[in-house]
Amino acid sequence: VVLQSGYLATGTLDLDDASDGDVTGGPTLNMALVEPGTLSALVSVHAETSSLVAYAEWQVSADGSSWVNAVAPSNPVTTSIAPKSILADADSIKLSVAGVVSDNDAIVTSHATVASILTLSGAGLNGVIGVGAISPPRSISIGTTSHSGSYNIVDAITVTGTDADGNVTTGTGTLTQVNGNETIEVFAGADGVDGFASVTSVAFPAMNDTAGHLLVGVLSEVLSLTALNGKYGDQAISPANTVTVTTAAHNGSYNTDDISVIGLDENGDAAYENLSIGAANGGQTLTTAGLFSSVQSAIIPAMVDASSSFQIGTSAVTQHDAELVLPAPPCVYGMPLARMSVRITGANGGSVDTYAIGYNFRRRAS
Amino acid sequence: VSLSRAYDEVSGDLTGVRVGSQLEGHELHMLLVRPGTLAAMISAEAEANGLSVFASWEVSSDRATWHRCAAYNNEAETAIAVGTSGNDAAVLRLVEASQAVYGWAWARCNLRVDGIGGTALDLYTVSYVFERAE
Repeated sequence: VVLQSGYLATGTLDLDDASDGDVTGGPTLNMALVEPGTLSALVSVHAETSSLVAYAEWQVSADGSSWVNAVAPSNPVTTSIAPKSILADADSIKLSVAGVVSDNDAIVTSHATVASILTLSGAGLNGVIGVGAISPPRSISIGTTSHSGSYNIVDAITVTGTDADGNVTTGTGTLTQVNGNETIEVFAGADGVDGFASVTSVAFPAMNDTAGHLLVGVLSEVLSLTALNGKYGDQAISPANTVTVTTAAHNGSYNTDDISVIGLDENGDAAYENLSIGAANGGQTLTTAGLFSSVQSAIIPAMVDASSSFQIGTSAVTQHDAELVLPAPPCVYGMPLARMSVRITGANGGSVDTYAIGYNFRRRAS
Repeated sequence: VSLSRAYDEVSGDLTGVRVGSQLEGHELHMLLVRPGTLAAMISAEAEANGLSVFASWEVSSDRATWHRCAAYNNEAETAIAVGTSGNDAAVLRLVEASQAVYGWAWARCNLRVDGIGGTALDLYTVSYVFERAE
């Protein structure tokens, strides 16, 4: 048995000379070469011109000049192969997830500042969560009470714990107010966009005196790759598309801060966009300005209450590319010549509209 | 005539199979198969309410790049099993292979999940049925 793969492959050709309604024939195949029941065509089409619709159709001929469409017994309607409209899908990246509420001392309840390095771990993490699991993973808040001149605003605080995959991770943050009365947010990971699934220690630099107080808690919800459970959660978004965040309507539940979407743009470069929630009652669909080819994480700030909820999805989009393997119908095997063809309707073809055809079959034993 | 039934049977549940993604079937070398005789025997029990299970065929020359097979006229696939709010029985179907598979070196039948993600209660068994090539 000899398998022919990519036989008479055309490479990429354009439809610049094709007018609305024209059929562009692919390479002519001598059916004497083909074992009956084994022929298919790998067809790739890019339909870019507005309103242009492309169909792939098998044709047969007795003489190589006059061609007839070959169809299945019931003469079914041929379905176009490109372009394809993809509907908006509100939860294609993340199925509905409830908002979370901040808890400013969930890891460490108020602890007096000390004038030397202070590392809290084990029982020293005495908040309601302490060393326990943080589910869903979240950023860590470091809070300070108000006291004049107590706080070190030069050296970093280091939080160590685990990420959503159970790996050890760290994050750092530096206080900015020497007199306290602030909350800073610490994310995990080298890129500073991961969440902590647990905290094992918090290391503070030496403070200026012992009159201040430190609190460690949980803040934003961080949806990492493993938490993105929509169909594009762990896959490329194809074609690249704008990302939507939908908030369910609920009076007064929403913090109006930004939601962050982190991933790759249509060129594969890092992309990071902030979407402003803006409305305390929810009921919005927020859309990124740029295109994303994947989403790797999303950061949802702490909400007013847990009645808030979010979906992350994708907008409606037109997919211009298609690739399919189309089997030849049985009727082609009774004719001497066959070919795959591309028919266009709706508009004249252009140089931006392209196709490629190649045949696969078992070669008939001689 | 040598018939192969329950060839490469695999079974399990759809835990972790996300909406729009697929459970890839075993790869079958097509030179084992007499043209026109391949099908997949599929048992699918969609228990999760809103879960739809579809079968789809793919082909490959190198087992690395896989191409989706369409019907003659590129018609849409129909779900084999759909989960409802009640108890759902397993659905057994013999799904004919696309005629496109016989000119390729490798083929496989995949189960695609739509509607909602698969769970441990959503069960499947897939095997191939065909006449061996001489």
